Amino acid sequence: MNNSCESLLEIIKEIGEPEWSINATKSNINKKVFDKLQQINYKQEDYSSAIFKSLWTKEVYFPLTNNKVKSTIFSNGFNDEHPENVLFKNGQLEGNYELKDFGGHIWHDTGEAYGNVYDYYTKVSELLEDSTVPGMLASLLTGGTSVLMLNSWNHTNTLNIKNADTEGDSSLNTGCYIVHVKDKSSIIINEKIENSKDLYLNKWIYIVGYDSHLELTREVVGGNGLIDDVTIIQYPGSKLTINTYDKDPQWRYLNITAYQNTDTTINGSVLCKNSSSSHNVIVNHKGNNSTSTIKYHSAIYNDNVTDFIGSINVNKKAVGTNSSMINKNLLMDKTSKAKSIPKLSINTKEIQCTHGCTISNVDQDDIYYLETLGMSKASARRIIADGHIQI
Amino acid sequence: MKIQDLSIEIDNQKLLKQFSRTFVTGETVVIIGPNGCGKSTFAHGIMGRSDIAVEGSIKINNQEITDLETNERSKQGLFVSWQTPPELPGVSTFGLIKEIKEIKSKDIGTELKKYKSILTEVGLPETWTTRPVNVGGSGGERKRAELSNLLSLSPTYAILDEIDTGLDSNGLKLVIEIINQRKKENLSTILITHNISTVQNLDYDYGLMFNKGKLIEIDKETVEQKLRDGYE
Repeated sequence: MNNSCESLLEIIKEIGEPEWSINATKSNINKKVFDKLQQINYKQEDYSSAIFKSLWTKEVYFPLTNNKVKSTIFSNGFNDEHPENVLFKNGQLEGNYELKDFGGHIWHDTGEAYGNVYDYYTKVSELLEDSTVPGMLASLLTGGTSVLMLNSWNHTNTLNIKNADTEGDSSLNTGCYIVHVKDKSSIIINEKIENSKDLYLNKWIYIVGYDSHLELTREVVGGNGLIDDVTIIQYPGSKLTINTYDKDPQWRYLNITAYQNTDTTINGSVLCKNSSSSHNVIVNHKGNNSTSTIKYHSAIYNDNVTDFIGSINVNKKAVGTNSSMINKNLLMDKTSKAKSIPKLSINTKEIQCTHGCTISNVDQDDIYYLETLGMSKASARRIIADGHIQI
Repeated sequence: MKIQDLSIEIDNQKLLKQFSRTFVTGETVVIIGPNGCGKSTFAHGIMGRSDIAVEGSIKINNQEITDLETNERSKQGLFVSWQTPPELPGVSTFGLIKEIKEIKSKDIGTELKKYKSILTEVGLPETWTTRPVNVGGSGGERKRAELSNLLSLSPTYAILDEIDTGLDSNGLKLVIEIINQRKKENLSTILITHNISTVQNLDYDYGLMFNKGKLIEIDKETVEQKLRDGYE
């Protein structure tokens, strides 16, 4: 066991890790974790810093179910006061489970169970360097980052992650989550984020491994305040599809870094009925021959305002980039507003980048047409808005 | 449907003055007139389009409908087909029917089967159910889709605004068959048309012609003569 491993074990004890976790860490620390970490961190210098910034928490492997994971995970963030919510025995998850709390751990779907802690404290600062202010707050305020390590090879898994803490008096709910899709894996993740608190503050980091495919469906429903900060790193050859369905999403930040031969598709559907929202979408093309298609359609009601700021940044190495960005906003009444700001930053030649945005009022003829078929004005407006954002 | 002293105005232009008539259940009436005379405005005035000013009384089953919203008029059994129905991107055709008819989950299978048989009747493919409403449809397909709405909603009074325009010969035959068939089932139809072959094959009762802000009754011979020779 080298010095750094010993110091990691000390950290485990300092932060009050249970006995079984310490033992699991001791038994596995030299066998697998560091091999994996080295593979991840030093495979290619360019990507290692991003990974380091992401993985700064402790790690516990456990068996979900192999290959076909269909569990529902309720994540409320780290909660030391209710350890009974996590059903572990000797480092293994037992029986039928409903995870109500997995903060502070890294969860794997491999069927293995071993743990490790590294860089818990030192890497926090590195993570925050690239983060937004809300992202920093989320990282600082959360009790422990939750990490999902998705290792399945050539299988499609579905994970349903639901954040819907309806209990307790807390007016603040924060979370920091890391999802790592391992190389050559194909993963489908369906997330539903419902904010039942006064303020919900999320920081999400997704790492899409070499030649892997992540299909991510996110449904974000805002409450009194919802802040959602997402960073995605796409390794070479990976494919990313994001479908977002947002209702009153309030503040959304999506930053994607895509390396060579990657494919990125973002389909954003935004419905602002009870609150204004701001979407900041950034795609950084850092490798050659990558493609991205960004589409955001919004429908805005009442006095609400939707801001869309879309940025495509093409690095000087990213020759052969093919990118397009479309933002269409439908104003459902006279008082709703939309702002659309597309930005292109091109630093190389031999690329193709396009953007387009529209802001239009709902067509009164469309509403009347549906009324002639028997629909009320309100239902007609709803169905037109739903249709617009789903295009 | 009893219409009394109906005047219709749009953009400060009076298109119809003091029109009174009772449309009897199971009756088919043909309305003709030159372009821009107010035929479509008449149809949508009865349906309650907000930019059309209407004075007078319209009663269905003795209930005044001029104060009702358009959708409430539809629920009273009134239907108007559109010359150029709008496209609704993202709204699936059967999804719309499901909303309009408030179909419950348990009944979706049965209702979908019924709707598909209606589509077959009007000559549209079953895949039409999942298509966005009117998006990408040809003129003729949209008219067939309007016919499918008519059959799906089963109204008591239907105003069909040039539903025979843009159709191929099979489609035209279909329109005539459907109107004639539904007449036997007591549907009252007001057909706005410019097409002489339609009226020659249609089982209708009489004609109405727009003339200088009036809708006057004309016999079948005059209907054909006007459609053939023009209005001068």
